[in-house]
Amino acid sequence: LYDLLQGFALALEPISLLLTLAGVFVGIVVGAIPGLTGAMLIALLLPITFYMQPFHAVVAIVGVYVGSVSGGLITAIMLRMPGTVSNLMTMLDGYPMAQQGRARRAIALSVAASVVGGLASWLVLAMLAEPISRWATRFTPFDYFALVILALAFVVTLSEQAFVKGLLAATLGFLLALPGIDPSSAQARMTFGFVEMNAGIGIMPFFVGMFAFGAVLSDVLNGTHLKKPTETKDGDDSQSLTLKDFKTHGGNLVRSSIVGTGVGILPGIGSNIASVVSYTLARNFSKTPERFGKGAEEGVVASETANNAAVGGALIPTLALGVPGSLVDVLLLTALTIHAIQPGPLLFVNSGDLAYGLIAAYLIATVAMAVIVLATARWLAAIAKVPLYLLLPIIIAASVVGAFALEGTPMSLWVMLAFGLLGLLMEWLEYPLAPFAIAFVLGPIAEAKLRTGMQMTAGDWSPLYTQPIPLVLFVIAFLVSALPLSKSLLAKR
Amino acid sequence: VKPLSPKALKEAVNILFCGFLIALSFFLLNDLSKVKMSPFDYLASSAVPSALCWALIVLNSIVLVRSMFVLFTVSQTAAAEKPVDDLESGSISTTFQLLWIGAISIAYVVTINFSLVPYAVSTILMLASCMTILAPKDKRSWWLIFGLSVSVGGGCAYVFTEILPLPFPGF
Repeated sequence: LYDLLQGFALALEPISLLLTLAGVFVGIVVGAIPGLTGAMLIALLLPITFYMQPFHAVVAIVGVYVGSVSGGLITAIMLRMPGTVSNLMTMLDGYPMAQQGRARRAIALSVAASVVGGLASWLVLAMLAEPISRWATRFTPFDYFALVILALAFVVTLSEQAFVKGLLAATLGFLLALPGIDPSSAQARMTFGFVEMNAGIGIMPFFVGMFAFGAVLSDVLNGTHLKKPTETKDGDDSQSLTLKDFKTHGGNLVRSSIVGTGVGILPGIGSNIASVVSYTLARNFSKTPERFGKGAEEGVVASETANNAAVGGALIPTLALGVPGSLVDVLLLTALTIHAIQPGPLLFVNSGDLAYGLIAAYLIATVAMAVIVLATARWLAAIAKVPLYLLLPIIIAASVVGAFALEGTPMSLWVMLAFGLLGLLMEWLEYPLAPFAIAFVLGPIAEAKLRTGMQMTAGDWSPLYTQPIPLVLFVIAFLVSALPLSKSLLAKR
Repeated sequence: VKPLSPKALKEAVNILFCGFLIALSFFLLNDLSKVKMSPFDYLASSAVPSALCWALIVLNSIVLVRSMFVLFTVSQTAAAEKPVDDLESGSISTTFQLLWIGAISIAYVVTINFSLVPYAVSTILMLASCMTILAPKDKRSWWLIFGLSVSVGGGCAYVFTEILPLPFPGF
């Protein structure tokens, strides 16, 4: 507790506080712009942090991280364009809510859920970081492999109306993530001799192409830019939150906080999967699952609680083990390393004040995020009133910057264009995009873990079905996949 | 030749898409067959991608057959469908807009990748042309389009080539 209080003292110093707040604000604005993400902004900020003290650099990055995860909810709800991938599930119900004239309520619910998720994961981060990190280190590669398969099973079941198409999209996403130099054997595969393909398909151009540029093309095809923007009903009391709302969504908030924090702790699986798993569970537990995708408040709450809880959860392996919990955590680790701070178990021993200061800054950033989003919600929501025919070309320009900023290669722009067109085609042909995108992220992790496990057991597959953790996870994955299928078969009868 | 109904068109494109993915899978399998297994590896570099290619072939075949069946059913009932209405003719104009926006975006990327035109100029031109194409005729304001394009394009160029120097083509 003493260390934590010292951390707060450090985080509340004027310069640290100012940098945290500035980071949150910039993160929210950037997160709200489709195509620009927290990861990109942090990548652009890294050279600037060279000139800062290590702690100041880290708190600014944490501020951007927290702000960018929540900033994307505005455009997800108002424009059907998630600012970040972690807001994808929020969009599924948030946008229909906005279309029904409940945009302000959707934003208020999302912010409240974000704060609850953030606070819950902060508690875990501050109080249980050490024991949980010890538990997570016991996971074998086979356990991780089974866990990723479970996550993919969850994603595919989201598309129960088109299960085969969902499975096909996930398989394609997994396959397209694998070209390049194989990190295990250092052999080029599926590159066809192109040197540019050796590094594989960049994750940023992929996401910008699918979810920003592709969304622009899709809106043009659907004529969304010719429709009138959604009018929100100002001053309508039914749109504001009351204590009753917290009672109504209490179970969902607790469940999603646990799921978000738990999934966030697992290395490599960030807030994107947390929101997917939490959303799926919320739908399965709901008395009215048919309302999901049509403006169900439970969907928005589940998604936003989990993706914010995952931020705190992901910081646990990042700080305690030096293993990044998500893409943004990779950049956070880079920032620590360039300041000669070694993340991992020794961080708490050698730089305990910095570690606890960072934990304190995360709480401050979470509270600041809620205040800033609520204070500027009206202004941020005004984006929806800007005619889309003016906004869409600006999103194209932002997409080009977003795809180009992290890698700065011509290849990244071609990838962005290609995946934008593929996203448009898949959406038009009614292939679900979520399994495709999530499999693209998780696929390489699954392959790497499986191969590491095989190395450790000298080619023995048996731990996959004899060890309790993989076995249980596979059984759950099977049940998760089989239940919606059997449901739809029974419904047809 | 009668034009395909929207549903039939979608199924026809889906058949082409599945066919393309099946061909791509075989193409990738051919490339993967050249990858040698390392003596220190228990699972070859090509094992997981090859399994995925085969899965893709099977899944695409299922979807392709289903689409062919739907297309056949739709074409049988096409005679009973009503002729193209105003809503569908409206979708033709959005398709036209989509083609233009796609072409402009590709041209924009080409100018950046091959450093043909300074980033500020290409961005302003891209923004102005896209806004002109997308804006409804009765709401098209040349001053707004010109002002917004110059301010956003100029601002982007200043931020991303001066403050945060990204390797975009300069003057």
